[in-house]
Amino acid sequence: MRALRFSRRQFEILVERNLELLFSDFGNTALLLLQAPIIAGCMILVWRDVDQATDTLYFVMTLSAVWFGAINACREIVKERAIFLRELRVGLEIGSYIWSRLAVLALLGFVQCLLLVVLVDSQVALKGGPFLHFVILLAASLAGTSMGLALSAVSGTADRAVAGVPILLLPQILFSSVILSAPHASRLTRTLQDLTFTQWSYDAQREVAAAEPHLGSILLALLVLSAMALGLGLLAAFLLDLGSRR
Amino acid sequence: MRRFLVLFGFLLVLAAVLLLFSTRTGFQFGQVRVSTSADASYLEQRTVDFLEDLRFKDFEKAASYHSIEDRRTVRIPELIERIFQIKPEFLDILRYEVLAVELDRSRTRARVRTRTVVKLLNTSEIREPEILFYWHKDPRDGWVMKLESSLR
Repeated sequence: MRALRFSRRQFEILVERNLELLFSDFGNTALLLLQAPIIAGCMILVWRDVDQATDTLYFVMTLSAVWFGAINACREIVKERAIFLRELRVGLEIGSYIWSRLAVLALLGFVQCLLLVVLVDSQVALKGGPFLHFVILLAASLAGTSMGLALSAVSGTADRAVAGVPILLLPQILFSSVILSAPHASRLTRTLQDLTFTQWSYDAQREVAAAEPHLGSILLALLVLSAMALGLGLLAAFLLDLGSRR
Repeated sequence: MRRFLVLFGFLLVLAAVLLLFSTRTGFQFGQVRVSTSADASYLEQRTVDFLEDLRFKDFEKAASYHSIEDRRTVRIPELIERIFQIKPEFLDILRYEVLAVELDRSRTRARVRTRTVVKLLNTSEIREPEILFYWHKDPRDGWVMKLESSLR
C-alpha cells in the first residue's frame, strides 16, 4: 500500500515547494485566477437581464467550480513526472505528494470560488446569501481538483491531460437534472446523476436558495462532495503508484 | 508550511469579511457599518428595520418610516394586505433580504428591492414575493417611505 503512505515532514516540505512553484509561475497562476472574474463577468451579463438568480445560474456556477478544480490540477503531476520518479526512488511517499498537491491547489480553488461568488452576488443577488453557496462551490472545486489530479496521474503528456478535461466534464453536464429531470430519468441515469459532483453541488445550491432550506440536505451534499474529493485523491495516489511501477 | 498556514488564514479572514459581513451597500461589523454610500446604507438598514417591524407586527413603529403627514393616514395592516395579498393575522414572515438599493441621479428618490419568504398560516403555503420599497428624501423628515411600495 505504497499509495497510502504519508509522511508529515515530507508533506510540509512539498507544500512549501508547491507554493513556491505557484508563486514563481506568475503568468500561469494569474491566468488561472483570471478565469474566475471572466466567467463571473459573463454570468453577470446574462443574468442581469433576468435580474435574479435562477437554478440555471447555480448549475453554471457549479460547473465553473468543477472546471476550475479540474483545469488547475490536470497538468500538475504529469508535468513533473520525471522529478516525481526520481524522488520516489529516494524515499518520497506518494500519499504526501498527492495531498500536498491537493492542499495548494485547494488554495487556488478557494480564491477562484471566492472571486466567483463575490462578483456574481454583487450583481445578481444569490438567494440564501453568498456564504453557503461559496462553501458548496469550494467542495465541488475540491472534487474537481481531485479528478484533475487523477487525470494527471494517468496522462502521458500535459497536453493529453488538458484534452482529457472536457471528456471528464461532459458527463458532469449530461448526467445532471438540468438536462434530464428526475421523473424522466431511468434508474441507471439517476444512479449516474448521483455519482456526479455537479448534481450534488447543484442540488445543495438549490436547497440554499429554497424558501425553506433543509440544512440536513446541504450537509449531506457537502459530505458526499468531500468524500468524492477524498476518494478521487486516493484514486490519483493509486494510479500514480501503478504508473511508477511500470 | 508556515507560509501556507498564513496564506490560508488570510484567505479565511478575507472570505469571512466578504461573505459574512458584507451587505448590499458595504460591510457591517456588529454596529459598525462601512459603506461607499451613506444614503444607500441607511436605506438598506431602514428597510430591514421596517420588515422586522412587520414580522413582529409592530404596526406603530412600522408607521414611523412614513412622513409625518402619512403617519396619520397610513394603515399598516392594510398595507401588509396589499403588499402580501394576505390578511396580517395569517401572515408569518420567515425571512427577508435586501437584493438591491437604487438611488436616482438627484439622490432624493430611492427604491429598495427585497426578497421576503412568507408563510400563509391558514394554508401553510410558502411564498417568496419580491417587494420594492420606494423612498424619498423629505427636506424636513429625511428619508421617508412612500405608500406606493408595491409588490413586484
